[in-house]
Amino acid sequence: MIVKVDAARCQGHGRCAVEAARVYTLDAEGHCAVNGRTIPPELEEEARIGVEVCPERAIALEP
Amino acid sequence: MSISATAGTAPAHVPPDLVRSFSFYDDPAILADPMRALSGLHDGPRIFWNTINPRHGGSWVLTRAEDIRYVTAHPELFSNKGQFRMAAVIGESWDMIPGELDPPDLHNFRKLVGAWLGPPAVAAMSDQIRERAVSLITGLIDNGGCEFMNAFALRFPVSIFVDLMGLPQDHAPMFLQWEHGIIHAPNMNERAAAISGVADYLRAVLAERRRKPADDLFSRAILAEVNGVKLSDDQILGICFMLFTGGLDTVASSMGFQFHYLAEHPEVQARLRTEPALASRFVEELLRANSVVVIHRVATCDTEVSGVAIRTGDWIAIPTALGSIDPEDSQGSTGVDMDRRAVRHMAFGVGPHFCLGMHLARRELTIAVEEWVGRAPVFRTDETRPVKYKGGGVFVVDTLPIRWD
Ligand code: HEM
Ligand code: SF4
Repeated sequence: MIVKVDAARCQGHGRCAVEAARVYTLDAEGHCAVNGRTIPPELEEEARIGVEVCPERAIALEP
Repeated sequence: MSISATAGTAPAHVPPDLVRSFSFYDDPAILADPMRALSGLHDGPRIFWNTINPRHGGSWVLTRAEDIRYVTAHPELFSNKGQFRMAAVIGESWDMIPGELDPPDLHNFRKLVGAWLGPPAVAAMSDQIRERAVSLITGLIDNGGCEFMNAFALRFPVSIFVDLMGLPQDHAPMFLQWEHGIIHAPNMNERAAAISGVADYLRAVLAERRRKPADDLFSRAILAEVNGVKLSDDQILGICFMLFTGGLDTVASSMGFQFHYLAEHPEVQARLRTEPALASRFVEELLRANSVVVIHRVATCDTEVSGVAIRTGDWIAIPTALGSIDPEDSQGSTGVDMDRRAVRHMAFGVGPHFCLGMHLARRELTIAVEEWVGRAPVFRTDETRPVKYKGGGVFVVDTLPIRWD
């Protein structure tokens, strides 16, 4: 599973990094910094939580 | 209330089947239960023209999260300019900053103000925030009950605002009165008087700090540069005014909804007492179920939203609650579920203007829950005195009488 963050949508709420801290980290400006990251199977559920909390719907997961 | 003007007519370009007259200020359904009344709008058209909008004459209303994201993500089509109508009411012309700016200025000013309100700044204020909460609660506990809004929900954020600005605590009651005047004044003259009161006060402090700098937010604003240029008095006023109006009734009212829920659910109080770490989860879910702010945008050109034609100069009202509880978008419903696996909401807005005070707001709200539940006996609503709401640009709990043994 790969994380795709739409940089045009991500505004830097930081909710992903709070609710799913083992998957998502933020850059210095507060935007999601893990675009393209491969998620190990044991963190897939946490990755989905990040998708579900993002108010901008900026995160997608690809197989 | 004379501010809640009577219904006007819809402009010619609005299709007749999209015209409604629904007062966010004083429709009986809003006064009875604002969130329930708002969720009823999901049964109607996804966008409609509301002939009642006291601030902007009449306006479109967006009801769906997807449209709210679209409109807020396009500031070049939908501007923030003039959305709060503060300066205009007193015949002045400064912007609320950054709430009435558009890009590119928006980004530069957000960086500046954001640094004063980011997680490190809030962490540094945390102990003091807790002390303010504890001292208010200990002052109330022997009374066996209180009207929660006046006794706590309004006072607490005002005291934090005063700390944030480096002002003396004994000025807090004055700010409370101005806040009341700006939001609930029975007529435009009184509203204007309150706006002038705050503006004059802030200008006087600013002049004083220009003469004699201190270690506070005013002085930092005086030293700051945006694009290599120092800020004008009007710009600093616009920032301070934004912090004032942005962080008082919003926090108080969110807290009102949260404590109303707690007072009606003693079992949730019990759970929070044994698992204090759940306080922030509780706050988040209640922000979702009760998103109190209505934001506004104005069309900069002829365009459309979901196939509906919007004309240059049309105002658009966006009740954030409708985005937060949109069943098409996420978990829907105003029903509270503390065990929801993921909480998505728009209480703090979406798009490039999302709330810069959200870290401070979450801190204040979480501390309030922790300290009340940790210190007070189980509290309940007082059946003999009804809970009351008011509508407007922010849906507020007006009175919340609670009691305890
Ligand atoms: C629960 C409490 C709060 C709620 C529900 C809330 C809600 C919002 C919303 C919905 C916006 C977006 C406005 C727009 O898009 O036009 C906003 C913006 C803002 N808020 Fe808050 N807010 C809260 C607390 C605070 C606090 C405590 C502060 C600061 C002390 C604050 C400062 C700001 C500022 C400066 C903006 C302007 C951001 C911009 O326009 O770029 N807010 N708030
Ligand atoms: S929650 Fe969404 S908008 Fe916020 S930082 Fe994460 S991806 Fe970006």
